[in-house]
Amino acid sequence: MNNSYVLFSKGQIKIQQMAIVLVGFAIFFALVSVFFFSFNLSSVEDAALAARQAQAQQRVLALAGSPEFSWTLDDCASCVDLDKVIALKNATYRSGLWGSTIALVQIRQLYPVASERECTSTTYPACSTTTLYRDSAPYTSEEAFVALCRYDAEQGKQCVLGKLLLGVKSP
Amino acid sequence: MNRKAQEEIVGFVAVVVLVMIIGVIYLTISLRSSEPQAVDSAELRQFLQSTTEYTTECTLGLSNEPLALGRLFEACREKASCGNGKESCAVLNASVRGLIDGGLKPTTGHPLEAFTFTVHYVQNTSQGTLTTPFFTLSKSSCKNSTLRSATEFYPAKGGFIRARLEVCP
Repeated sequence: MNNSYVLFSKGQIKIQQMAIVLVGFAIFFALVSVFFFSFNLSSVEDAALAARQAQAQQRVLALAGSPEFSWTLDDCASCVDLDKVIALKNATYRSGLWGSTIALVQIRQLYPVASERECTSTTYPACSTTTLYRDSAPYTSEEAFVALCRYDAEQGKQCVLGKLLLGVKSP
Repeated sequence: MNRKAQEEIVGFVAVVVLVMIIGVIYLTISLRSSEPQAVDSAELRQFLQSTTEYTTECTLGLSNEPLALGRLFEACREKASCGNGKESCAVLNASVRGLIDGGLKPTTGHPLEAFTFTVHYVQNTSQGTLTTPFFTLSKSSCKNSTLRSATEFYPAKGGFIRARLEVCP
């Protein structure tokens, strides 16, 4: 069998080169576009996440600002009165207070680090967690930073950093 | 004719490789040189507002009541000493470090890898706004292209204090 040679004319080679260059450029710009849109999309997702977090925090802060939680000795929007919270934990009427959508209401001390135990009227204030309500239902957690304050007869207002956690039942 | 075609193909490949190398270098430089972009964070703002009320170990003058962190900024600016002999700025440093490490734990549960906390005294003068930094606390540097931030303002004599916290997501 004879060897066969395919001879391209110079014009054909030029056309092939141009086609390959065009395809290369198309692929290059497609890749750049993919990178660009993926970066933009991630920033939109971040913004949506931040908006959801802000909404959740507003719900938790609304609870922190309620008369059962709020610090009223001076003007402090982010303060929770721990003495009130302990009194509320011991109250008998609180079972119907949280409504049907709440599965968890909890306050945690973050800093300074306290003994890892539940706050009761005997352990308070040397404790870290106060659980006001807990349901066995599954929930999604919403939380916000608060200042946990109590009144000390000698040193006045004493505040630590904490978080108020709200467990909202999953639909 | 065949040899000329080969030369054309080699030239074409060289051009393509050159364009790709230039593209890669451009992308690398543009991605590296971009400054980290700060995104305002409601969580951090809430953190700053809550830590304002945190009771420090510093008392001033004859008062027996320890200062809240929000008032300790002013004491640090004036380089005041606390009742226990410690410098107010040293107490501020320890308090802020503890609050950030203890309060801002990512999902891993470990303290943040990188943050910057800066406090400025801002004063309106006849020449304009005068901003003087007087306290900075930072840990490592943020390598991410975006970071979360929040700013909080506190009243001070003759102006106000601006505290800004930036953390890696």
